[in-house]
Amino acid sequence: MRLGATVFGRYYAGDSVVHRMDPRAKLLIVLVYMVAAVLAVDLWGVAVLAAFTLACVLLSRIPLREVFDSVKPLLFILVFTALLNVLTVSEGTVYWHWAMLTISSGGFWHALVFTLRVGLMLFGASLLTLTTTTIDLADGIEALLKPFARVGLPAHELAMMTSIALRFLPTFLDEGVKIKRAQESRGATFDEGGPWQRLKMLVPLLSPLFASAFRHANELSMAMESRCYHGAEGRTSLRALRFGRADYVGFAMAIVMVVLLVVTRVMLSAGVTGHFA
Amino acid sequence: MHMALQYGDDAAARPDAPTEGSATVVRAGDEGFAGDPIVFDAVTYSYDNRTNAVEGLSISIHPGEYVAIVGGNGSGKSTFGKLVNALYVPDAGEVRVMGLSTSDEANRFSIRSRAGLVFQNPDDQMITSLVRDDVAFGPENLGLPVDEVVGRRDWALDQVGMAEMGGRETYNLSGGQKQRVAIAGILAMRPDVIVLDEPGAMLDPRGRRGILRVTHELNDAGVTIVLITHFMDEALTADRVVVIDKGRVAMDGTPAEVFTQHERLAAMRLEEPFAVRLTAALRERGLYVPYTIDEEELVASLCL
Amino acid sequence: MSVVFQDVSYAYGADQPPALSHVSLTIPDGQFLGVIGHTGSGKSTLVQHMNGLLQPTSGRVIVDGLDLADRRSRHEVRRHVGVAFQYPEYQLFAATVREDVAFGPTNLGLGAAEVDGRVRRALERVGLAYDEVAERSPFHLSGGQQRRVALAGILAMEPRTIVLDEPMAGLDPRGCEDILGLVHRLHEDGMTVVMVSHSMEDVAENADEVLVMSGGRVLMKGAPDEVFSRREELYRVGLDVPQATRFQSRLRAAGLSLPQDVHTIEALADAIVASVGTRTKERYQELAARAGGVAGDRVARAGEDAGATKDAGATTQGSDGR
Repeated sequence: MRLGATVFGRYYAGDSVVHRMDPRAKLLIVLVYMVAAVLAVDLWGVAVLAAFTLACVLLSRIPLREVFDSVKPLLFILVFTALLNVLTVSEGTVYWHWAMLTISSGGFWHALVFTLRVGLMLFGASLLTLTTTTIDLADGIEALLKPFARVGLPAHELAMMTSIALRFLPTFLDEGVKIKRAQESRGATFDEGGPWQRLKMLVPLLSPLFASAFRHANELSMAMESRCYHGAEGRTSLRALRFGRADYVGFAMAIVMVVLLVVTRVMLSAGVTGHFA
Repeated sequence: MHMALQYGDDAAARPDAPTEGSATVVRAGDEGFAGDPIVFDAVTYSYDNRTNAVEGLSISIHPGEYVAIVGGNGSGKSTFGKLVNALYVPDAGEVRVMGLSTSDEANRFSIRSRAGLVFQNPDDQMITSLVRDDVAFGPENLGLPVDEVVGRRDWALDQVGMAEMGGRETYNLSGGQKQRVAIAGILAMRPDVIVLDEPGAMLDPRGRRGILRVTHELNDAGVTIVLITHFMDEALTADRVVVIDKGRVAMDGTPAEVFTQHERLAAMRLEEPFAVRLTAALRERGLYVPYTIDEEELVASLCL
Repeated sequence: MSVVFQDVSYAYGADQPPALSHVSLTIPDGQFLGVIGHTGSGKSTLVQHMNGLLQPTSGRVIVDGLDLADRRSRHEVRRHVGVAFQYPEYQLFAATVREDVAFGPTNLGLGAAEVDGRVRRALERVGLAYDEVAERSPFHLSGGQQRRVALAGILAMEPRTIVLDEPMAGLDPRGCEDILGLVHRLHEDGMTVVMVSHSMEDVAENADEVLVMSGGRVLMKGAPDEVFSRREELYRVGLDVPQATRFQSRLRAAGLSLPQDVHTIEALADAIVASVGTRTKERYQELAARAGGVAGDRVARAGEDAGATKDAGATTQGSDGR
């Protein structure tokens, strides 16, 4: 049973430029990308963001469908933010109104832009994990956090934990599905009854999952210990991090995108007001 | 392929020769060690200070042997592996691996790199998401130079027949493949001994056969193998079988010596080889044949 | 109760290869069906269709006349078809054994007295003493006991059919024997049993019929005698025959007359005695001496084996090499 085969945070093996980039560069680009997503408040901005994302996906040679699938489990976030925007923003023509809730043309625009932005953010983050192995990611995080180690931040440990968490995500998802089915076999229903009933049903679902997490943690820590793991000190890192041409170019592209967004914003606020419409 | 496992003839490639450069884990006390690689000397260990998991356990594993350790759940056989690997330290008595006492904290890394441990659950040994990163994990921890880590990683993957799979995600492997990656991860530390703690318990018969074959290939190449198992067909392929019961050695001998003792094995409710079970069934029916583990011999006895 | 598969296919995703393709089969009331096939053959997927945990991509599953395509039928069927996954103890969750076993019957909406009665009966059925384990945490029991508690949790639903996916996986021989004995008793009590297993021996010894899965399809289905006689086909899909079956062919090749195909040790022993007759130890030694050569060596060993229970532990102490 490969239940969690498509899951946010998984790695998609490949040998593209994006796969081979320095994890630090990729982390920094994602950081810049997130800033860009915050700046992209209109459809122009979203278009720039989308173009950059699409370019990255094409370069990574990962089928677009895989990227979609990895974001799919988080679709509910998009639906939720979209609904929130539609119902709370009151601008332009108002179609429906009840208490604090309104459905208006402006609300739809807000919802569209906002949902696209959040969606693209998820896309970008997903592309990072799809093209970066957990250990590379850990190395990257560790290297970027190293300056903070002097002030007592456990850079290596944080990085290792992130890496292990990502490694076990699909395993837990599989187990979660299996536990749910096993409890359903015992007459449990997870999609019926009132809120209290549903809350109560979390116990037979979560309690075995926690037990399993502890079991995994215990065995994994022993396996790591038996393979001489003893923290960062004196540890070789096979993946010597080196910034290459692709890293500089990628980073530069991300900066260009932000500049572009700032420029369009300034231009738009000077000229046409309001939305793309 | 098997000669490669002798770690080459030049001294620099030998595991007991301290590697130049960045090696921070120097394997102490191992120049030309020729004694028994694993010695248990009256070892007692308890998880909860009430009941002893092993009690006064004394056993020596000889160089180059293939030993099967057999026993039921709770016999103490799994504790054995963790005591070898210095994951547990004896409450009383001493465990020596390549002459080094596990009770001395300074020896831990030397011991773990010289006597590797493969666990039962294949999932919980995959530390990273990519096969080749996982195999490199041990050598990286040993602080070996990058070239050496890469060389050992590729060599170890080849030894377990996974050379083509280095770029695969660990999550998508079968249980048997995961176990082979785990063995490669241990092998990359170039151990003298590999202890496998029920490596086939969670695998299907096909996966189990693959693991058994790999352990025999490694043993042929000079690695001492200790296989902890409750599968009799696996134990039958060993040079020596040690039965552990209630934390002590109950029987110790060749498979033929141990498994022909029907009454004692039955009393411990251990599974017996097919030929022994059939012999017992025939004797019950009044047809006498001597106990044997060799099916060919049983055929001959019946066709007299 | 009968379970009927009508041309059932199932795929985990639109772009995934089918895990089941065109499976049709009928499991009559009261049958013990053994399911074999190696990993990825579709066994686990098949099993999850039996109480509607998975629904066919195409085709129908009908249990006791109820089509599981209907949501209400699925809920109804889950009362009567218990499914035990691999390592069922990993689904234990409650603070006490009693609460955990009571989970199923409580979900059925039964009264407290009825639930309590079912918990007692279920624990008794799996061979655990209510007074000893009921108030203990399931997490503090041994592995074998945990598995029995998990099975009790399914039996407390008082199903008429029980489906077990490799119920002996990971247990030692003693634990396997206990669970197999339990499954055997359930069948004798009249339950329909579907058991997925890697052990050809366990299937040969217990099943009325054997279902062989390969690549998501039904490769064969029939009585153990029938299925295990088609040895070549089984080998081709990576499966084996029981050891008794293999040994029987060796005996036949050596010239022994064993007309009836057998698949269990007991049946093989019967067949051999029917063919060779009985022999005392003295008679054996006489025959062996007459045969001479290699057989003579065996006589020497045969003389030894009666009193050969030397204490090997002492040997180890001696060879300690200190």
